[in-house]
Amino acid sequence: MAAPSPLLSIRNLSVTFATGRGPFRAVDKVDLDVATGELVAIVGESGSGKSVAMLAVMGLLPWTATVTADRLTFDGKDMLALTPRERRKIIGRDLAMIFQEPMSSLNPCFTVGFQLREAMKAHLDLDRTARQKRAVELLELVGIPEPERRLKAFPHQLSGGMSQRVMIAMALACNPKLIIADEPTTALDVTIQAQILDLLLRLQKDSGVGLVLITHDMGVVAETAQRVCVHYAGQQVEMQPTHGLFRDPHHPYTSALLAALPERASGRILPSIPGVVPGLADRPAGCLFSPRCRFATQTCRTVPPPRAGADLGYALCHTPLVDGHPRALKKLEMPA
Amino acid sequence: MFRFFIRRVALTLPTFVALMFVTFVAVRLVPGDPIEARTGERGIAPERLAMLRHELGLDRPVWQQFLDYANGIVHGDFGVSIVTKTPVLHEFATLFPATLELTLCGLIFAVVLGIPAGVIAAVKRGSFFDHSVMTVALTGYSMPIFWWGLLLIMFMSEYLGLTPVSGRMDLINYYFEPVTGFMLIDSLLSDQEGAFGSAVAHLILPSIVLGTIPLAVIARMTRSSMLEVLGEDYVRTARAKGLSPLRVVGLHALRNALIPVVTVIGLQTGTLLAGAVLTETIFAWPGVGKWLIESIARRDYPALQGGIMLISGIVILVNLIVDLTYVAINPRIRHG
Repeated sequence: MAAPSPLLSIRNLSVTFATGRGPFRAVDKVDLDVATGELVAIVGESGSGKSVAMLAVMGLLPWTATVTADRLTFDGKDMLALTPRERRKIIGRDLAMIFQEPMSSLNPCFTVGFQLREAMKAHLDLDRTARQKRAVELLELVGIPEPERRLKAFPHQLSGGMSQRVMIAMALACNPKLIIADEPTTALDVTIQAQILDLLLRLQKDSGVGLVLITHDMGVVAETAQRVCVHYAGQQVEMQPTHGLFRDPHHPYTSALLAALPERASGRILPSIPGVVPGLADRPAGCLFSPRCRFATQTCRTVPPPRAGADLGYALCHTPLVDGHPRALKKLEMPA
Repeated sequence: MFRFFIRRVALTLPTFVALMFVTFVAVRLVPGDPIEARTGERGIAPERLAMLRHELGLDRPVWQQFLDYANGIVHGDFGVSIVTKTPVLHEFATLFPATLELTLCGLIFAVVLGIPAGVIAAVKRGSFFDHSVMTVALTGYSMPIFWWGLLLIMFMSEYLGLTPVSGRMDLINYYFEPVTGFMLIDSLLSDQEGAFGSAVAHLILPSIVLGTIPLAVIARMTRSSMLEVLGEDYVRTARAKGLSPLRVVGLHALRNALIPVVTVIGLQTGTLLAGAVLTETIFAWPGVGKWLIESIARRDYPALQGGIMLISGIVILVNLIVDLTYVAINPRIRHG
């Protein structure tokens, strides 16, 4: 994670929600660096805190959430120290976000054009005609035919794919430095998913904008990202450059995720990870993945794991895997 | 849109027929008839009673009376008051501006206070303000109108001497012929110094009394509707654009939250007009409500039937207008 001057830099980010049954830690000590123009993927199951961590960066979490971090800087500014007014000057302009549900992310009461021009009005010094012109250009850029007519449309008149294109156009409106895309294709038809992803990647490449892609699709990650963070139950369990992660995953969870990819399955039965992500009540004392980990030892079940170094993908594991085998175990098994 | 309008209007026809029947029956279910009500304890010779009844057509079969009445209404003839011998429609038209003025002021009071109170309570949910507003709203909703009116008169008029006790105008100091029937407008037209102030002062207490229940309903409805909308994805999108909280809440959220509130306001016009009957009686407000109460005492069948039909017609009309407003606010219906 030694990017020269990272655009986004996060150290030890934790988010705790106050719930009726006591505090719930949704994000637990997560690190992330994103350089300008870089594409970083965050993968993990539903409820692994991927979205919450990024919403914390945007400052969009509800009031029940408490965000702490040793460092949370974007473009050199400490996002946690900003006043709300200062933060609003950054988000929507330099830092934009695309959400999972395009159909419900657009306000049903306003036209597409209104919502598209609104961000420009807030951040850019453009007059009415210039904003309209840019809105048309943006819709052309995201591949929406008849942009003038579409600007006058209401969100319910658009399909899901079309809505997500509008959301992408909206994110691009003020020439951001970083876009956070939170599962941008999950809610869409399979046939549309590839189109939207291609569009997003093409625009990212063309404009040189940084992109954080939250997904649970390992296949997408393999094709697109430069670096991958794997989240599990709010913790970051591994971070590696993409080719390294796919060649030699160091955390048993990453390894199990990769083994569950259909194209990697060797037998007739697709391997899956037994069990579910622990909830608020049934958190294990040691490693959170230990109940589902096939390499788990007694230590794993009782002692929280340390974080490994860069050579082992910062894996959060007592016995990080090397070439598919637990390293510490290997040492123990070998007779002196 | 046009078809929606036609369908909506057609739906009101059965309501009118049912109303015609119910008012006709209800009015006759009250013991006594117009002649007995007028003679009172003095009594009347049986042959004279029969003669007067014959004059008014009260000796004919009830179904015949109903057909006459229904036929008249279809032709726009609401009959002639038994007591004043003037056409019901004319009496109604003379008195209705007073009621309308009071109702509008009550509604404005309710909307102007209720919507902001509901919005602030929703944004600051769980706060002291939220709890206070909701407690006051529940109290207001549960309070009997006549009692609340008497309390206000005792405190504001008797004890503090701030507002007049009853009526629409200080008739000792000011007199002018009605032009529009609206005291606020007529007093301005009269060019008499202080007349407008007197009209306003007379309106304050009745408006508060009449507006209290709708105020409570609107505040509670706005709050719950707003709470729901604030959790929507498009509100998050609006915040992600870096818009000001005022714009996010007051434009993006409120526009959506208002849809059910407008419906409730429409339904409240019924409550307002019903409340006007009591309020007008307490404050000796010379409007339709007070006239109806007096007509009940006199068993003035045509006045009662006609008055109730006209008021009901207005409530139905207002709800029709509300439905059309609803279409204007919510584009999903307009293009549905």
